Amino acid sequence: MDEYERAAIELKSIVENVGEDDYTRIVDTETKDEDCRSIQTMMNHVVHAGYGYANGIRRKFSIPHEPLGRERKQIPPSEIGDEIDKVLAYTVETLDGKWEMSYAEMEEIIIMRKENFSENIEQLLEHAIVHILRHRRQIDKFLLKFGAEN
Amino acid sequence: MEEYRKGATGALLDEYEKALFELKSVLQTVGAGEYSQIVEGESDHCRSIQIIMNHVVRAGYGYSKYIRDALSMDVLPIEGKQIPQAEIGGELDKMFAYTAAIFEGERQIADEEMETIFFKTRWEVTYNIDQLFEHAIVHVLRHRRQIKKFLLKFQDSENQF
Repeated sequence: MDEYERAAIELKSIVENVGEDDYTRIVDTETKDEDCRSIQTMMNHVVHAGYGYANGIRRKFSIPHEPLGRERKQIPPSEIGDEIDKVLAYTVETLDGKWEMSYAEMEEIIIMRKENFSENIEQLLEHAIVHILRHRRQIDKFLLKFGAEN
Repeated sequence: MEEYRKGATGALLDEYEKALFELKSVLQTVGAGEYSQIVEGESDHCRSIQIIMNHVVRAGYGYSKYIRDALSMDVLPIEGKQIPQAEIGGELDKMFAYTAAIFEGERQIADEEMETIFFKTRWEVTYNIDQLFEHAIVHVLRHRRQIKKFLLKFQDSENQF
């Protein structure tokens, strides 16, 4: 969780300093992936995915959770920092009481991530961390592109 | 823009390299005494920064071996090396180059293969290439965090005297 939080803080420090125009600017008009058109769509996706990972764990442990649905919440740039904090807090709450779990115990907890694909809780959390790292990198690339164009 | 590698595997390699760079930066602040200092109460492969780093390098080659075996590529034997502090940066670079060569060589690996080629590891967990690569990145992050905790501990015990 420390590394998840560290990755999220690094991402937050970048997106909170993006101007509103850059935040909503469509970068890739041709991509089939709606989540990767702009920093805004990407951040909506990152927050949505964060809740998805936590809900996967909540389902496994029968912890109450709000089903997400497929629709992405549209997050204004001014609220993205708070939304990142909220999804982190939701994940911390999900893992409450499980901090001392051994690797062997973690490997036994199998979670369905998508249809026909399951993984253990350690793999899921590793994926959640690297998901943020990947999108931070992608946003870095977008910002370099904007800088080169301006 | 040239410093970013291309595609999904490029993104993973970039983040692996970044994680290793951050680890190397922390290691540069470690004194010779601290590098070999035994920390009581830790598991056998994590009892000192030196032991952790020998483990990190060996594990890095191990992850590459799983992927290379799965793709029927040449594999180097994995050595359990005792790495002197002065050589650790170079050894991490070599380990990363060995990993990068999987994806930057002649054998083109499709994004789909990253998720469809599965194998079981020594610790009895099944991974696809993408998952094992994520595990490799987070392995480096975890041990960087652990080394930072050791350094804080060393500092605290020094301040007590």
